[in-house]
Amino acid sequence: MKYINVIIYLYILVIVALVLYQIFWIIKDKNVKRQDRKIRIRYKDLVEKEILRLKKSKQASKEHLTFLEKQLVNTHNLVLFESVLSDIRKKDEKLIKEYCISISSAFQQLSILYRKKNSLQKAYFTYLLSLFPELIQDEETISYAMMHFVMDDSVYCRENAMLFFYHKSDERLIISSLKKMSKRNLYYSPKLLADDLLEFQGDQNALAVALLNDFDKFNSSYQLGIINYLRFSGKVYQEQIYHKYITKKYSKEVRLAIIRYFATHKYDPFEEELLKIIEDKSRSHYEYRLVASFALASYDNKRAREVLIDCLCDVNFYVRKNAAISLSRMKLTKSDIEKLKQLEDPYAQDMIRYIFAQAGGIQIKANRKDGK
Amino acid sequence: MQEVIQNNRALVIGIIVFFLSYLIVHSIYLLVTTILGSVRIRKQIHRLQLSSYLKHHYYVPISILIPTYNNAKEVVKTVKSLLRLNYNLYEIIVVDDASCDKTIASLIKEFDLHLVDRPIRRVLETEAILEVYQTSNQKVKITVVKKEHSGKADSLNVGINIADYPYFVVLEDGARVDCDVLEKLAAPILEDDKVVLCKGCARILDERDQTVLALAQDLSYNRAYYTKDDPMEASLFCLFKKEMAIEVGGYDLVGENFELVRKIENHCQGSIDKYIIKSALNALCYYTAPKSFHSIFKQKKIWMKSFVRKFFKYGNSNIISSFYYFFYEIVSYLILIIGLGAIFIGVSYHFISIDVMVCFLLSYLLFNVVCTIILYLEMGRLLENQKSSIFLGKLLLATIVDVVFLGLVGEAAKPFSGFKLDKKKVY
Repeated sequence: MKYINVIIYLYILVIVALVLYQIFWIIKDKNVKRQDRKIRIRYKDLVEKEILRLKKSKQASKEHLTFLEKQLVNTHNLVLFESVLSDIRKKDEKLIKEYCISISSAFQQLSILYRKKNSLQKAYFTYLLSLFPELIQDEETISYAMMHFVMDDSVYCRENAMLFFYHKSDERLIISSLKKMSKRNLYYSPKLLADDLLEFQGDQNALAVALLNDFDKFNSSYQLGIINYLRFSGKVYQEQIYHKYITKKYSKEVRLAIIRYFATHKYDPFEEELLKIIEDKSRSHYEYRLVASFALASYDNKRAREVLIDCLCDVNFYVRKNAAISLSRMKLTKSDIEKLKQLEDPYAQDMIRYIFAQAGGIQIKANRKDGK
Repeated sequence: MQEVIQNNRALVIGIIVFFLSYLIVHSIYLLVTTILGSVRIRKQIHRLQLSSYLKHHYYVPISILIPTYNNAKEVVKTVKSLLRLNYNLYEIIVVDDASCDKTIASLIKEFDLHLVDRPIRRVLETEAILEVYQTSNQKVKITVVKKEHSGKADSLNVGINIADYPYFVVLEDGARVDCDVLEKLAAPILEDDKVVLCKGCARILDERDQTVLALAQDLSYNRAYYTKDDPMEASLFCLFKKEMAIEVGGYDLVGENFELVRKIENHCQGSIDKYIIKSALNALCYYTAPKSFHSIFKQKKIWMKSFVRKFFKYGNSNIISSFYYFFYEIVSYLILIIGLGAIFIGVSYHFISIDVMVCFLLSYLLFNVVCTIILYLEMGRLLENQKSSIFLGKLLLATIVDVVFLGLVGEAAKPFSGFKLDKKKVY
């Protein structure tokens, strides 16, 4: 019986400990919020005073820089500082840019200190730099300290460091950092990579050319992102990409991405490749066929239409669907329509009926010798 | 009778000792999971404060599946609310399990749907599809499928077959979500392409001010999410990779997410390829709470039926989890009846002191109450829109209702759940 008493006392002890733990956290949170309010007000005053000083002297005071170096080593203070900068930026963006440039030497020091911190703290530091890229001006800091952040295990730290680079106008930084990340097999989502490359503020053409020149030095995940970026970048590099497709062996995902590229950017020599892909009916090859059947929509000629009509009877559902979608975008002749009507495959008939209805009817090519 | 009991004094005391140990083990489990849950939440709060999340204007395309049956008003409300999501690429698929009310007519009228003759790839075997309606006049594509009445699991499999996008979530008709919920669920996929499942968090929606019963259920869902003491509630809202769902055969029992989550977890553990399952603690889905103990009883019955069948069909590769779920979910009502019965006999025949037993049981219940409140308050710090101004007295009352009455309702449902399952009656 006394053991049960001991257990009851233990229960009570644990309950009291849990309740005290909660009370402790409630009081602590309230104190932290109060402190934060005071710190924010203090930072705001200092920053605004410094901005006023800058209008006359164009250089930040040494006391201010020292103050920032001491205070912002603490990540919590860095969060509050960022909120102050963001508030001021909403009123005057130019002023904040000038201020950031003036305090860049402090952030140069901070970048060295933050290299030694944990991934979460590094990620926040790089997040702040991605929001205010003017905070780092020194070339050596960019190439040395920022490269360290780009190689961190934290995906957020890497992403924010890359966003910092995209805001600079130097494509060499991007190529160099992507190569290093790729070599270490650090994951960079192809979707993110493609979208982030489009954010590059410098010469997009120079970036695209540099990426293509070093294309084979990246792993397949990066290559996929680069091809997707090139597809949406609005520039055309068909010849170089076609040459790579023909001469080099890339992973399936990269080759599929290249086929999609040529769906967006028509290139006549590639049509032969598309037709070869579609004519390979092996089951393991179906992904190539379904992407190629989609891509053929850009190559509106008699042979392409014949191949696509043939694809409507493919064993794979998505190949049939993409073939129907491509045909709905082409200008069909009367003989094409006759062929479609004569298809005996009921699945093909269902697909055409549905896709063409969605597309709002069939486009008919006039059979006139004058081409009208 | 008295003589029999006196002769079996040791047995009665043995059962009491076993029962008390059973409760103590549960308390230890609850304490550990409460502490771990609090730590997880604190870490997540810290990460959000340090903006440690990927913010992107584009994520992965998602299909939202809504199985429905005789709930026209609610499903229209749900679809309307989904049209307000801040997400670039998603579609809505409502699967009507041959409702007898005006579900289809209401949806057609509200969203300007028209009948289409759409070919469907039947990867998962399902019952016949009767009609398909579609519209592209809304913000996103809405597809409504009418099929033969065959249950929620089959409806969800139809939804999987018809979904165009590589990921899907399942919502109940009547559920609501935050505008940025899909972003929060999809973000882990951008961090790692091996993510096949991301678990969000289910909460209770009460459009009027929360009643005590609704708040009690909210507490229960919140606790289940972090302690996993109720695996059904912990898996109510998830983002699945369609390819993985197809690979494990889709839904096959009552159509609860728990089934699919269990199958995927087993598949991942047995697979050479590396798969990842993540949680998005602040991705919330709000469900309408059953309004009475009777409705809760019915809901628990169906869930337990599915859970038991799933447990014995697919098992659990983790021995500790298997042990826990067997003793604390499946046969818990038996242990409770036998334990409380033994205590009653022990007290009646003066084998044990009534004061000590009452103190012990009250301490156990109070301990459960405190753990539940702690997790709720911790979650409140994470979520900006949880009502942090709930009157403490109401919170305490709701916790007692949850721990005592909902717990009892849950246990009472178990012996009535049985093994026979009519898949068509699971709504």
